[in-house]
Formats: sequence, structure tokens, C-alpha cells
Amino acid sequence: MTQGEFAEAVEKYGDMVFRVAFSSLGRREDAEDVAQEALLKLWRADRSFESEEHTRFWLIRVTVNECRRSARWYKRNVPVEEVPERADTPESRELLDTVMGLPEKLRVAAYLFYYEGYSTREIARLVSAPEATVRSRLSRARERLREILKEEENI
Amino acid sequence: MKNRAFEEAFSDVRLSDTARERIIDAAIDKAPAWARRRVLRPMRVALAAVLAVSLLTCTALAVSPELRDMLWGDFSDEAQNYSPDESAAQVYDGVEARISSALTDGYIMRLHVEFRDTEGDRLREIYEKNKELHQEFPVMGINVEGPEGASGPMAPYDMSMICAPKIIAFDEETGILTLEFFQQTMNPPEGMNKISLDIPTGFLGTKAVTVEVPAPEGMYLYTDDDGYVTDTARPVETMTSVKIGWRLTAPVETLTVRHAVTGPLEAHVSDIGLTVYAEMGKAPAGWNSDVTVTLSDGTALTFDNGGLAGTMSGGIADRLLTTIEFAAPVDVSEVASVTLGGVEIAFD
Repeated sequence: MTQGEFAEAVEKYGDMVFRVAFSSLGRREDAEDVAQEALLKLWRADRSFESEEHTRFWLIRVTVNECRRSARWYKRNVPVEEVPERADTPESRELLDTVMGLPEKLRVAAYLFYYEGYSTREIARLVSAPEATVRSRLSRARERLREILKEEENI
Repeated sequence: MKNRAFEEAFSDVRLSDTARERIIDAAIDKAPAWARRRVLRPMRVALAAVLAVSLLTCTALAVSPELRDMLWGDFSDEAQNYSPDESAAQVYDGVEARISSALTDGYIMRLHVEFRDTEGDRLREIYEKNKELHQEFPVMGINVEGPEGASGPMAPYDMSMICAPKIIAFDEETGILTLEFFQQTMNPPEGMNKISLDIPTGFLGTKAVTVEVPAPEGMYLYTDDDGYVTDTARPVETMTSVKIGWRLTAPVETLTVRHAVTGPLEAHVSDIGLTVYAEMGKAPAGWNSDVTVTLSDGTALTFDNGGLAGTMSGGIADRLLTTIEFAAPVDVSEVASVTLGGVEIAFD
């Protein structure tokens, strides 16, 4: 991978990696640290991927692993007020706050399912957990989010 | 299928331009990533080390005096409730593993282990590689054992609750590598009298090592060549292990656990931390994040003032578990109540 290709990859996948890290850690500065580590893994790996989807899957898995490493070092709790400033609707803000108020594993599962669109089976592979555990986490997340998302047909 | 509301909610959660530039610069510089991290992470490491140890023996400790001071930290005046016995050290593959400190209340388990290569200088190479990659080692298990040698039930199968060793020191002169191990457990055995650690043989090697973990659906975990723990349908290699341990010399206050039940919440507190069980779907929001420990003199320990150091959560079936460690030892008799997500649990 050339430096130019890496810069393109950072541009292309940076937000996704950051969101995964942010959904896990809840703090911007921690998420940026993890995003840096995950993307540098891509740089160091210098490997080819079968497809863009393969690249995304690999990066998410690396990011989840990096989050675990970070979280094991005395994970601080997540003050909701640290969620980045936003200029969109109050409903979106409420949803984001609610998601970030969920326990870490629930919000990661919810993010990967509802934002990234992965199946429970895929999420199980991404987070190294049994599929039944992922379904349980999603169920618990859904229970907390139902009131906010009751208008959404996919919930 | 993506959810529209989620897309909108997360649409502005984006990596900053500054972070993008830093990442690209880091790659171009090719400098070790750990050296470019902001000061935040080293501070955390130092905090973790201070939290980790309540007792050390001079005979077993081979790290520098400065590190020893840091490791003792606020726990330095704690009584020694564990001490080395005949199983404190084992040699495998020419590497001696020796426990240098142990801290547990039966729920929270933390060990420091020193490794010394009796046949060469392999640990230096491993340290040089892993300090840069911030790499973890394959999974190992800490046990607390009762009078009959029975171990307490291990924490449920959950990645965050599996023992996660980390490098905390390397002595350039002696070549001794010190790792910290941390783990939670569900219920300590009656009469707990020993803490021990299972070490897979060859775990410090650079090759992938398979670690078999009790898990549903026939899944196994292993560490790949990049150091990532991942899953596989069947074990690549069956591991063997050696066990090292320290024995409890006498019952001490550290092991006294107080217990209270309030509806879907159950709390145990010791001088090193708080363990909370919650019933899934019934516990109040914030039960594992909005936590306050109130002492009898009115002092409130929260995550904001440094009184509470951090949490580790997991769960199985309909039961969730979180352990919260204190930043400094707390006199159990002075703990008046614990408030979890707005629900106060008063201790007698």
C-alpha cells in the first residue's frame, strides 16, 4: 500500500472505524486513539482484500479488538455529554444519547446491526461472541430503544 | 438493513480532520505507534499499575524500586493476605514464571507475574515486539480455590471477562518481564484459600497458540499471528499448561465481603472494589455506570473524583455482572451504601 492509497483508505474508512470505536468506548479521544491504531494496522498489514466489504469487515474486527484492549485498561464510564456536538434534529440527538447510554456491548451490537447493517451472525464473528449472545444484546438494546424508535419499521 | 434513524443519529459522529492528519503522519513517519500516543494512555497504565497491587514480597520482587513504589501505591499498607508457597514458581520451556503479587476479594482477581528466561534472552525480543504493538497474549485463567482445591465458578463466557495479560515492566539488566493479569469471577468458593494462574506452555512464543475456552456452540478462541484473539470452529492446537499460585495465609479483612440485595440488584463490596449483579431487563438504567459509593462520614466516591477507578462488565443468560475497582483501599466497615443508577443499596 502506498502512502497515497493509505491516505485514501483513511478518508474512506476513517469515519466507519471511528464510529465503531466511539460506539464502544463512548469518548472521542479514546475513539480517535483506537481509530489510529486500527488504521495503522491496515497500513502495517499491507495486504490485499477480496473486496471492499472484506476490507470493511477486517477493519471493524480490528477496531473491536483494539477497543477491547483499550477497555481492559480501566474503562472509564461514558458521560453522555461527551457525545460530539451536533446540529441535526432533537430526535436524532435523543437517539444518539440513548444509544450511548446503553452498556458498551449493547450499543456496539446495536450500532453494527442498525447502522452498519450486519446480521447477527456477522456481528457474532466481528465481536467474537456466540450468535445467541449477540441476539440477546440486541434484544436488550431494542427494549431500551423501542420508545424512541417505535416509528421505525425496522425495529 | 440499515436503520434510517440510526443513520441520522450517527451521521455527525466523524473522525476529525486533525485525527486523520495525525494518522497519516504516523504511518508516514513509521515511528512506533505507542510512542506517538497522547499522554493519556501512559497515565492510564500507571493508574492501572497502582491499582493492581496490594501486596508484594521483597524476595519475589525483581522490578526496579521506582516501579515497586508505583505498584504498591495506595495499597502499600494493606496486610499481606497471600504469600508464596511451593507452587509460586514453575519453569516451562526454559522460562521461569513466578507470581510477584496477588490481589483478590474473590470477585476481582489481579496478579503480577515475572517471567525469566533461564536459557537465553528470548523475553527481550518478545518485549521489544509487543511494547510496540501493544499486543496481548493468549488467554489464560486465574482461579480462586477452596479447601478441597475446587475452583470458584469462572466468569461467564464473555471476551471482556477473560483473563487479559498485559506487559507492565521489563528490567533491562535482569531480563525479567512482568505481566499483569486481571479477571472477574462469579462466585468465590467457600473458604477460599488460594489464587492460581494457568499458563499455556509456549504462550510467550511468537507462534499462534490455541487456547481452549469453555464456550457454547463448540467455539474456540485462538490468537493469530497478529496477536488478535479470534474464534474458530475447532482448536488448531491443543494446549497444555502449568499452574502457579499463592496460598492464603490467614483470613483477613480484605476477604470479608458484604452483601445486600435490592430487587434486581445485588452488591458485594470489599476494600478493593465493588461487584454488582443485575437482573437483565429489570435493573435501572445506569446501574453499571452511574455508581456512587457513600461512606459513613458522607464521603461520596464516584468516577469523577477518582474514588472509583473503572469498570469491567459482562453477563450470561439473564444475569449481568460488573466489577468496579476502588482507586485506593476503602475500609469496608465505613461503606454505608452503594447507589446504582439512582437506586440506593444500604449496607447494615
